[in-house]
Amino acid sequence: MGFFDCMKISGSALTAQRLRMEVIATNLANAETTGPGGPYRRKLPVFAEQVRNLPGVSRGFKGEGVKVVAVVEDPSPFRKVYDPSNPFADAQGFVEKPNVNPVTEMIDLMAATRAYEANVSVLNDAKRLVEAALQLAT
Amino acid sequence: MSDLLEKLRVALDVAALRSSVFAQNLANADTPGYKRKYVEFERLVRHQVDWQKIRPRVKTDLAPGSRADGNNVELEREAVEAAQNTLRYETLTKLAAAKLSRLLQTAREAR
Repeated sequence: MGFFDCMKISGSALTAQRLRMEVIATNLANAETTGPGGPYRRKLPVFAEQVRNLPGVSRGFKGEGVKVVAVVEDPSPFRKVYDPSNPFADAQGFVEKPNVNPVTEMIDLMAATRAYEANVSVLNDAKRLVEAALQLAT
Repeated sequence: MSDLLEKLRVALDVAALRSSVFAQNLANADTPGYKRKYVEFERLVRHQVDWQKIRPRVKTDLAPGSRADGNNVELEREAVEAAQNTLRYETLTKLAAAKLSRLLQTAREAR
């Protein structure tokens, strides 16, 4: 387990957090999307820890970072808005709007950005340690 | 190899392992149900003279944590411990460099 594994772990976290940001961007872009097939449903990334599962290798640290294993749909109910002029309105004049709350998405985006930055600083730290180790060779 | 260099090597290995464990904890700071890992070493080598043969152990902290998703990673704690670890690593490399340069000096004078 060297620093390159450490960097790989941080790299996997950067990939996962960026995918999370992409999901948030999709949710925000579709916050008002309605259509004949029903409104847009909010998407959520599912994070899972990655460990090396080699049989027989039980010693040492087996962590391999994090991965988005699935993007699931939020089952919460749609918003109902009174808008009789909308072509997708029902008999009572109500339109179903996506279950996306822009405020929730923005807060999630901030959390994703902070997590991304935290992992970048771990990556830089690992680089600093490699440089310190290289000083030994001079 | 000299005993001191061997000990420094082990201590550097432990610090390197620790940085990987911190990276793993931070990478999984948003993973539901993830439990933080830590390296146990100092407690194992306490009161030991020939501790360079002791291997560090990666353990899982099963504390319930304060979050609803079961994850017990605290970013601040990991960041502080990672900073300490980096400083320790740099100190160890300086010590190792000093020892190596003394060895080199001895070798030159013996010529």
